[in-house]
Order: sequence, then C-alpha cells, then structure tokens
Amino acid sequence: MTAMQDTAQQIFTCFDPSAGSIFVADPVEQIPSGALRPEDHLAPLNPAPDLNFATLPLSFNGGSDPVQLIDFRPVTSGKRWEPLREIFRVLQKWEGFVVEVQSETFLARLVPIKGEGPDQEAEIYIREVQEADIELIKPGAVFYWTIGYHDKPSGRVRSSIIKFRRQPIWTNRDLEAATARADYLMRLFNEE
Amino acid sequence: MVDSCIETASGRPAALGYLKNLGIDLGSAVKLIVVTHWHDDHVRGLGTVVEQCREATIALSAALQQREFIVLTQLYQDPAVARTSGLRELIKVMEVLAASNTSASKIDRRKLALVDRVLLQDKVVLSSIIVPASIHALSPSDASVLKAIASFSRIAPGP
Repeated sequence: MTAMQDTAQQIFTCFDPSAGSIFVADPVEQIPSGALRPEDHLAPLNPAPDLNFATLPLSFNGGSDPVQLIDFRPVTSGKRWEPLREIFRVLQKWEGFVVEVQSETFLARLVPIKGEGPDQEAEIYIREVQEADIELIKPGAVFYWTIGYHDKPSGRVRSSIIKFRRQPIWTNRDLEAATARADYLMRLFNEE
Repeated sequence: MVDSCIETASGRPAALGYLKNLGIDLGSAVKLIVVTHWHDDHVRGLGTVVEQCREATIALSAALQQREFIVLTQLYQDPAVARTSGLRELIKVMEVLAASNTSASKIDRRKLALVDRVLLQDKVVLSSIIVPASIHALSPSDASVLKAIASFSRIAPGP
C-alpha cells in the first residue's frame, strides 16, 4: 500500500444524524476520547460488504493533487437508529406534606430527599397532580415531588412528577391494638 | 458483628455458622452486634443472631428504639401490609431484647447508636501486645433522630 493510499484510508464519509447530512470526518483517532461518534448510534440491519480500500479506484490528477477517496457505499441504507434506553435522571427530590388545601392550589412543606437545600414551603397548583391522586390532597398527606431529565430516544425532556403516597388504611381499632402491643413491649424494657 | 445475612445453603445466619465452625461460643464471645441500617439485605436472620449471641449488646439507631417506631412496626406487621421480611426481623429482635430484660439476669442489651457515641470499649491483642480498642458510631445525628421520630408520628397517627 502506498503512502497516499494509506492517507486516503484515514478519510471516510459518514452520516451526521443531527445535521442530517453527509460529512467527511477526521480520522477516528482524532475524535476526542469519550465523544460519541455518529456511527456509535447506528446498528447495521444487514452487514455492509467489507470494502477493501486498497482495491478501490483512486483518481489522480497528474499525480500531484491530494488523493480523493470515493466511498460508494450508500450512506443511509443498511443502518438505522438504535433506540436508546429511556432514563430518568433525578436532579432534585422532595418529600412533601400537605399543610393546607385551597380551591386551585395546596400549601406544602417540602423536605429535600435528594439535592441540596433547606426545608421550604411551596404553593403548588392542584392541576400539577395526576387525576388519580387529587382525592388524596388533604392536610397531612404525604407526597414525593421529583424534578429531573427524562432522556428518550427523541431527546431530553425536563420533567416534574408529583406522586402521593397511598398507605394502608388503619382503623382506630388497629391503631389501639398496635399501641397496646408497643406499650407492652416498652413496659418489658422498663421493668425494674 | 456488623449486620446479618443468610447463608444460602443452610438458610441460617452466615456469621453464626462461621463462628461455630471456628469453635467460638456464640453465647459469650460476641460482645457487640451493630445494625447499620434496616434494609432487608442487612438484617436477614438478625433475630436469630440476637437470640443466640445472648450476651451481646445490640447497637442500632436511636430512632428505631422509640415508642413511635415500635407502634409503627406493630401496625405494619399485618401480613396484608408487611411487604418485607426485614420488619419481621425487627419485631423478633425487639421481642428477644425485651425477653432478655425480663429474664432472671435482667440484662438490657440495647445500645442507642448516636453520632460520636462510643459503642464498645475493649482491649485487643495485636502481635502479642494488648492494646485498647473502641468502636464509635458515626451516625445518626440528633437532628436525624428527631426528624425520624416526627416522621413516624405522621405515618401512624395516634388513635
């Protein structure tokens, strides 16, 4: 292989999915490590023929111009987008306690579970809560409010999710029985 | 001993099998059992460990030894709502500890773990030299315990 052919091998064409156009990329080795190359997102439907660049016709212009490599492979056939896994990246999460309910909003105390910041109070629109949870918005109710990025194959979406906790329903009798058993245990510990 | 897990083959607490194989008397040799946190994979078989290591002190978060929390465990022990085996272990640990306190020897084996608290002071032999050793709790903070107790009350309101 000549030095000119060797240089030509380091140039290739590929499809830039974000720009939707063909571009000539630098040699792979020059792409910063960790950077995603367009072909990283592509998975072959049918294996493309293994082209031997050494046998491809190279055009010369008097032997002094730079080598121009022509890659005859269709740039869009045989490859498709590989669906990426959907991921929710939590930026901040609070445990909230409903303090007061108004006609369109509710006042809540928020305690950070993930992320920095002090406890705070916030007035939240009831319409932010999913319909199935609206009946749970009562003083004392506990909910979890998560803010983050929802990364999907179609792109990144900033999300805010409010979910109310549905805990078991206890009757007064359940509570009395549990308290009595707990007190019995505590008495055992406190026996002189 | 720190936490507990189950040996798959025998279905028994792994640490107990290990110590028994070494010929160690569980009843007297184990001095302290530290329960770091109450996740299922850290407490499996703990009730049996506490039962068999009958002279060991049990160090666990001060928050989990409050009346509010005991009430909660009793509420959740209903099989309809108890979703984890960890809760059953916790209840068993409490019952074993209460029984120790009412036994003839009347030993209260509970140790409240709080930040900076010394859980155990002893001496160990290192290269034939006896040196003092101590075990300190790194958490929880007072604020964490108080916050936890408030949280328990919210979950299980009084009758």
